[in-house]
Amino acid sequence: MAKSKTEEDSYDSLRWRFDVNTFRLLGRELITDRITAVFELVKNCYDANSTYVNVEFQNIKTNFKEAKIIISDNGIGMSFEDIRDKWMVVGTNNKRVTLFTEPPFNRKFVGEKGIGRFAVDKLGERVLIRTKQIGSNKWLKININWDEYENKSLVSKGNNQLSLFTEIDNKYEWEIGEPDEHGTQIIISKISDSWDEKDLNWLYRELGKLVSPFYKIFPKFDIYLNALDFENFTNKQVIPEPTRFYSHHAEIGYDLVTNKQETLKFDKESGSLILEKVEIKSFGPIHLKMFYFNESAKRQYGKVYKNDETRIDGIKIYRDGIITTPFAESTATISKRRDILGIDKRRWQGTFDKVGTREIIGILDIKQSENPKIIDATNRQDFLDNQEYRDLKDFIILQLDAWGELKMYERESKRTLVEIKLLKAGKEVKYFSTELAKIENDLVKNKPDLKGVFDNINAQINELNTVISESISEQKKFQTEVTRKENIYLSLMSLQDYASNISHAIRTSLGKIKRMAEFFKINFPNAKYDVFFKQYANLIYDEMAVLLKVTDFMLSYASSDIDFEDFSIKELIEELLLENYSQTFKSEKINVIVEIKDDFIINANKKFFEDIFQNLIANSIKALQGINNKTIKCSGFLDDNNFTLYFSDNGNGVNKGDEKWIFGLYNTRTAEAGGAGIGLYIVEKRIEALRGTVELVENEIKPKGATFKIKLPFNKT
Amino acid sequence: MTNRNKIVLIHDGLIPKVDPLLIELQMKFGADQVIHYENSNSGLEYVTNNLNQKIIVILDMNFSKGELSGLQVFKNIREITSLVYIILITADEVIKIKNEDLIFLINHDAFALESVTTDYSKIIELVEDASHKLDARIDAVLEDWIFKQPVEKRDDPYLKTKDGKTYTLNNILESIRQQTEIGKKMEKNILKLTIDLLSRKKTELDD
Repeated sequence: MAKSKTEEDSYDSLRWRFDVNTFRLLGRELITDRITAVFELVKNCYDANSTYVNVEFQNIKTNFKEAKIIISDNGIGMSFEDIRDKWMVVGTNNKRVTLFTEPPFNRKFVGEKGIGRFAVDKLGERVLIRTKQIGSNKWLKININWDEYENKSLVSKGNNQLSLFTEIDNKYEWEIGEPDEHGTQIIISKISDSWDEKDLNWLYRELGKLVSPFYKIFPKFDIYLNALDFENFTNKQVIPEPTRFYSHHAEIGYDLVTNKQETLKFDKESGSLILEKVEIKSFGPIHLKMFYFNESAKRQYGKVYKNDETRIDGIKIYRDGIITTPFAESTATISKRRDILGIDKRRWQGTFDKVGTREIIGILDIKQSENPKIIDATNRQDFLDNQEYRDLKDFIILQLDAWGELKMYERESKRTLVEIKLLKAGKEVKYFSTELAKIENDLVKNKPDLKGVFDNINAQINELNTVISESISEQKKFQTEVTRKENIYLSLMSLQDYASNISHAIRTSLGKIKRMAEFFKINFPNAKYDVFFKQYANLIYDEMAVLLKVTDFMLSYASSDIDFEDFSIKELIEELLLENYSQTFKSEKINVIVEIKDDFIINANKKFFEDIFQNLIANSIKALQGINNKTIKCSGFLDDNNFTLYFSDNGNGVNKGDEKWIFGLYNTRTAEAGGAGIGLYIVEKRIEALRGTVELVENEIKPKGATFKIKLPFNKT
Repeated sequence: MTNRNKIVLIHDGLIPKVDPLLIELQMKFGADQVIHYENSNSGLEYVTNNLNQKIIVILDMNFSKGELSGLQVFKNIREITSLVYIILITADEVIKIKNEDLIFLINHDAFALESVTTDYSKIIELVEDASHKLDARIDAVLEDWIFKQPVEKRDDPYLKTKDGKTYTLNNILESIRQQTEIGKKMEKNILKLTIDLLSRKKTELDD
């Protein structure tokens, strides 16, 4: 809150009330690196209707202590109230009253309110803001010193008042100016990190992404980069970098007269992408340019740009020529990049056949007037989740799937081309040797001394023949090896999902154990609590046993025998149910029925497959406690696309409403019978790794019981 | 003064009935004052149906599929009242919580955000802190005062607005707790009156 002083005071302080720790926490998350920080500040200049921005680095190389980063624009500037009520308030985006800036600019806001402070914090410890609105006769200058906040915060920590906000005074003063001057200058000093030429190049490139390379914006928005310490950065205008080295390129547009939108389609005949016309979609007409990088193009690109992976960065959406907020963020590392359009998420199912963000650069242009339903979400992380946006995402994925088909086609034809060439070579050698034999017959009759020469040639031909045969078999082996690796990779993919579940579950478990241990620590010995001590000792033991089970499962992925083999599902199930578990079933008095109609050979990790049945059986045994005529039934058959298995028991069944819940980690309704809620979780994860699905369906055996339906798809490759 | 603050734990990561956190809270605040719900939907239902009580909520962020998330419960409570203190517990790292959610929590007065592995003593300290704050609030002081009045007086018309509506003491208390227009107005007036009394050195309030 500001003190109740008027603008007329020439020197005073503005009070800023906030919690430094929260501030830093938020800032660190929002602004991950300094490139983003500058990017954010430049976006603010755009929102302020500037036509010109200068990003200047002073003394950055020569005298780092005195180094400054200065961002100046000729925008509308800020008033005293703007600084006090907007710049200094922890803002959420929805406070904006209008979505567009004043005419003639009519710019859609791209910056997030309140983010400027975080950006500045990332860049340096001190900032001086100089700002002036048109018509005012004074420049407002305000000093903000982050280092002082830290000190205050430490003091408040000492007082044990952690949750209290820190109140900070910021000095401000006024400076005489001409009435028609306007704009904002942010002067940052006590710079946090050093900047070298590489950083500046990266910044240059990122700033180039702010404006669509294929759209002229009016009024203009020119960005200049200045760093006198470096030769190449003297008043350098930022221009979007042209895309180079791609292997394929395609562009789709639309026609408003016929109301048609173009879309990509893979043509099997020609093995290339063609354009098709469809009705304009719910989200309105769009224009999309795509540059695809196949393996060799990626290699070349990598060579030229020194394997800088962030350059090929997927599809970005621009509105009226300016990057839309969800994309207006640069990330230093590829793993941190957010997958807004869900492009990489879908690769899960077909990692090697689908095109991901690291293989394509796309510029999607939309317009406020023609695509009004594509709305930035207030959190700036995405667009508003409405039907139109979902349709747009589907449409983009459709385009990428066309690229995916092209990718598969190219890979397949390359593979077969090598094989065909080898086989052809083999045939030619054979032909050559038969022809040679004919000549040999004729010649050696007349000139016996040539025999030695022919023997030599024949030996060489034989050798050549062997080499070619070996090559063919090597090539085949290599293909099998590739398929095997693809399989392993797929089974590991489910780990990602698993890791996030597991860390959550382990922390919950550890929390319980720790609280019980804490209880001992505080209260032991005390006869009053003996009943709890005893109970907790048991509970800690049980909880540890659960944790062990979870970690064992985790370790199964790390074991060295994560190998794939061909085996028959029919044989394996019969062996498991009728032989391996027969003793268990006998002692539990369980009647087992196995009806596997068809056979199906699967290439998978046998141990993982056994895990599925081991857990289903353990689950059934628990459900069958106290039941008469205990029965477990397993049936299986082949249909068009899947091998389908039903696994049933006539146990206590699953409560209505719990059908999906039971697959969650730690979710159990049989805690008393020793259920830890891990079994069905493992079942689901193992089946997912085989690209299959499992669900609880209506119980096969009446009147009660449970039936799991498992579907395993054929490997289409 | 007997403690009438209800402590509602909406948390599926606690050991039912015997979790040390529950036991220690019961020792401190009385067994009847501590209520534990494993299902977030039921927990929210309890809070919304008992707004005439002083409530401190300990709220887990993560629940099973089919149940409201902790954040959703938080939002639902805040839609009807800002007077319930809410301490959030998360099993994830704080850094994993979305910024927009953090901002929402800060701007809507989350009392604290703690990890599921935090010492329970710390949680109890936070509850005590919240409890003190609750007791010092207007509605709490008013409630204490109402309790001192004879039972029959509590439901007598006490206040009449310009448009003719009458309010009993209990009505006023409830309006403040639910932050209705009249409740907010009443709250302001009581504060003004207090300051007015203090400034005229009428410090002989009944304490």
